[in-house]
Amino acid sequence: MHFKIPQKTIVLWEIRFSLLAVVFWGILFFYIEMNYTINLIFMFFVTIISFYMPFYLKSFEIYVKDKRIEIKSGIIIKTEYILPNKALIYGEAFTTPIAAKLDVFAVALKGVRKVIVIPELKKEDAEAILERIANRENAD
Amino acid sequence: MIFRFIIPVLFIPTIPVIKAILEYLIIGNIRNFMIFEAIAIFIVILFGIAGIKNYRIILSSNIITLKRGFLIRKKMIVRKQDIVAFKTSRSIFDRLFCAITCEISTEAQGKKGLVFKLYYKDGIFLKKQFYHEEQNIKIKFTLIKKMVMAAASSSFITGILISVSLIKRAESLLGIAIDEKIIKSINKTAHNIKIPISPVVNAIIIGVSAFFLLSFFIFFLKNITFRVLYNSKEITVKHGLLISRSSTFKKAHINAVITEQTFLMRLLGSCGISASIGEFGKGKGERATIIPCIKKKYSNSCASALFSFVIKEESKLKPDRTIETQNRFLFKPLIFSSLIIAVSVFLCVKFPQFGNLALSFLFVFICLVLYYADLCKTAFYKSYLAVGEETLSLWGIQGLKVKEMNCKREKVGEIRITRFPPDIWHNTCKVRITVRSKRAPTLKVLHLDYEKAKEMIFDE
Repeated sequence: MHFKIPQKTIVLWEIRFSLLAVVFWGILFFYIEMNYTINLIFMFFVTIISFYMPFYLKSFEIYVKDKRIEIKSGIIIKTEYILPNKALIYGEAFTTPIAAKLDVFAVALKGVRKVIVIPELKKEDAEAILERIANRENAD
Repeated sequence: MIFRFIIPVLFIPTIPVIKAILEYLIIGNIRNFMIFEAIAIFIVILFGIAGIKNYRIILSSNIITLKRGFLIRKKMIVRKQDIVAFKTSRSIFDRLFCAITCEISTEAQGKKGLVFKLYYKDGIFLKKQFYHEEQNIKIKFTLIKKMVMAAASSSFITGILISVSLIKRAESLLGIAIDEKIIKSINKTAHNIKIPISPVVNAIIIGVSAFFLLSFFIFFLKNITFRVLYNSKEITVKHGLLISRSSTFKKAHINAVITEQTFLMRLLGSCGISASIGEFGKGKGERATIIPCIKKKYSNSCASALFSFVIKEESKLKPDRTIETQNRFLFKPLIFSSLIIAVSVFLCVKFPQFGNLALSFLFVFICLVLYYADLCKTAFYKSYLAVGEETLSLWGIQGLKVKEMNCKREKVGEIRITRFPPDIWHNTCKVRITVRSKRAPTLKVLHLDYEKAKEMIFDE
């Protein structure tokens, strides 16, 4: 089974990031004198992150195989997580109020020494991953 | 279940509410207007009710599904075989409402498992879905053994942590400085004791003893009803006085069995047996006490009877029986004692007015180092590493305790062989075994023959 992050998740994260940027700008506004230069630097970083985020989320690829789960992500620094069935204990899907409206669920894969969180997937994809983990074989 | 959801945040408005009630009862008047606290409690209760409405536990043949959460909704699917321990507890509130608190632990859970409250009958029914067989063999322990267990589990640091939180709460409720009164009485007692030890050291010893006694008293009360039930596949440990607790786990989930001797147990010729289960409990080492106190000569046969993987007779690799190896074992106590004597002499010479204090500390620390030296000498004679086809066993000292660890090879997380320059010169090594788990127990054996240790560990 092969899964990718849906477009709705990218929209969701852009909304979350925008809200966070507004709140952070508000806090800065109260504590420091926001001149033209600081505003410009702040907008520069906001723009860079806003452009980078969709590409980073699109780079996620989740492969659920018989004996392991592989998660690939990253643009500049590419990361691959390989979780053998033996190291997996259970999976948990969770959603926030805004994500629930868009019908997307994030999945946390809980292993013996690590927790890996996959950003929001479609509800049926998240359910499929959880079912697969629940019915997995333990052989490696 | 509503108390379970609101308890974490209830402490915020509870203390002002209790204070206001006490004010009304004592003075007959509430000085501060309580509406803010009342609104806060109301909102917290609303969140608790919303939390209950979204809580679902669904059982199927081999998986358990938990749905929970109000704002952030979660769905968790766990296989029954991945649940390492099922704990239950009943406080006075639980008994009043015919409820039981359940906690499900897996190896991925962290220090606290998944906790929820159910009606008592539902909780027992849920437990039976994981653990089918009746545990028909019960082990009860005498009061003396429970006292030894409490003494072994107590420490003055635990006593300090418990007493500080109790004293602070009492001070905020009653508005008096209790800690200052306690410090004054300890100082007064220390000055009144007529022995040639500095009053400061006296005060420290009195304080440490008082905290230790408090910790001992609390652990003793917690474990006064301690008993163990078991069958061929499962073990249940029950204890608790006001809050009765029960922890059940399968023997297959046990990572290691540890036999341990503290200073008191060595004096009595006894030891304690505990099992390490992945992510069990809050303490380091993830341990559940199985046998709190048993005579040392019976410990091996008892552990073998309870756990089939405990090695009875296997070829053991021990340190070489030479004077040189013995001296290497005693090297650390020699260094510690030299350092302590050097520091005490320096303090006596540099600050003669603190001579008495320095000599008192010297006396206390030398006693500790002498005990540690005795442990090191015992380790020279008794430490070993034994590797069987499927099991592994080792004996060593950890701090001021003597430990023996038995585990299955598949449960071993890490084997580390370390060689310092003296080890390279003598062709020896230090072998450290860590069980697979986040807060796993670990034990090391020193000064083993390097070639033989490698052959033993890598021979598969």
